Amino acid sequence: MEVDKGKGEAEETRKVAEADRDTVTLKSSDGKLFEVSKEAAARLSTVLAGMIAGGSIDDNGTDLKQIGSEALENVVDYCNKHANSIPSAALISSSISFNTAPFKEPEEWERKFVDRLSHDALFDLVEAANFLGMERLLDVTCHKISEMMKGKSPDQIREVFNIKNDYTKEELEEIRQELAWAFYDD
Amino acid sequence: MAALPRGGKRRRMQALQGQEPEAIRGSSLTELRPPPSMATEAAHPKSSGESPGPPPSPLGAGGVDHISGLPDAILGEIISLLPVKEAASTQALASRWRHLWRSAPLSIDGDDLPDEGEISRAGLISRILVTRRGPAARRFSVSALQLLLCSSAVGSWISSPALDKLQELEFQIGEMMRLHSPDLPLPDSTFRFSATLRLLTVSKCHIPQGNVEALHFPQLRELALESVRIPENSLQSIIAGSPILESLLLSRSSASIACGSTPREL
Repeated sequence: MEVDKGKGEAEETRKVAEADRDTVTLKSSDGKLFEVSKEAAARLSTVLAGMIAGGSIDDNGTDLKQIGSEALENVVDYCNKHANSIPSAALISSSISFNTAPFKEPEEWERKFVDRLSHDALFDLVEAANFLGMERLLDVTCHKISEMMKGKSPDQIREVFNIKNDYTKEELEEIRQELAWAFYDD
Repeated sequence: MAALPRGGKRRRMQALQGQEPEAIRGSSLTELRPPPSMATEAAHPKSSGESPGPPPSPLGAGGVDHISGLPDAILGEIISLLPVKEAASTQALASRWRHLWRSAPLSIDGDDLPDEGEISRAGLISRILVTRRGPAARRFSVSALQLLLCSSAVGSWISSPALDKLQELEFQIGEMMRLHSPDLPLPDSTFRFSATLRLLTVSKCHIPQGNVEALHFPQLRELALESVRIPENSLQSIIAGSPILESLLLSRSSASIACGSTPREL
């Protein structure tokens, strides 16, 4: 359906056009519409893949009632970036390797993608990725959260994530003794 | 960190829209344009400052604990990405976290455990493994020295149900590099993980004839044999049985047809 617009766009733009040639429209809980590469959506999300295969995609916007517009925008942005970031050679084998990669280390661009998110947006994105069965995005976001925890004491982690310590002193002492090896010198 | 995103992203998307009006159809992006803060705040009412009490919505902001609301399986993933000490100590965060580590995918790097000698580490690993009731184990990496000093413990770890479906197994050569030790005893059941292993490192061992010939390693991507003696046909059959092998490291290892004749140093 896309016709060559012949404006001498950069290679990058052309790739975007190619990736978006076949798109699906998703609708957030608050009624906003987003366009996403069908290929990337099907490859990255088991739920969307199922909907695409099952023909339950609505041209006027497939309802995703559990996902707010900000999170869905990030999901769509991630899918489209993913579609554009894979070198074409890798794309051929990516359907296997991306989901089964032994190391879940994020790529540089994926790191940047999650680094720029606010705390709220990050967690909304985790939930959206979980809901949509996006294993790779879930790995990337979980990796980011674990990075936020790494090297911190329980007290510091509670502070970063607003976790309320609901243990009694006695319970906490019991855990510390049970896991004496795991604690820092505090 | 949080200041960057919106402007940058929006600019980029506008640029795309300008160049490819049909590729990204108007509706979505024009609707995005109105002040993002409005949409955000409607969806995520901010609890101002440190006002305590229950969050107005599970997606609230400010002093809200988002992380504890995630499903156990996701928290388990996050925990399993932490070094084992830190992973275990998440139990002290709050009662929500008390049982998560034990059922999170197991990931142990011996190097992350307190350095009070390999024997003390071995005792700790044994104690950790008996408490585990997690799903498929992710990673188990210990010094090959354990094979020398605590071979029976290693044998029981390897056959422990806590390591079922293990994906990454390493016996790291570490300080054994310089030791002229005899071949270490690799537990017989090491290859019970053949169906799930993605990474395998074996050091200072002899893999005898007949151990691996009939095995398939459908997931194996990285194999490292350091100072390992292995019959050449065994090595060949491991490689033949590993269709997606990407990386093979043979270091100071010898593959021999029999009894070390014509060793092939690599």
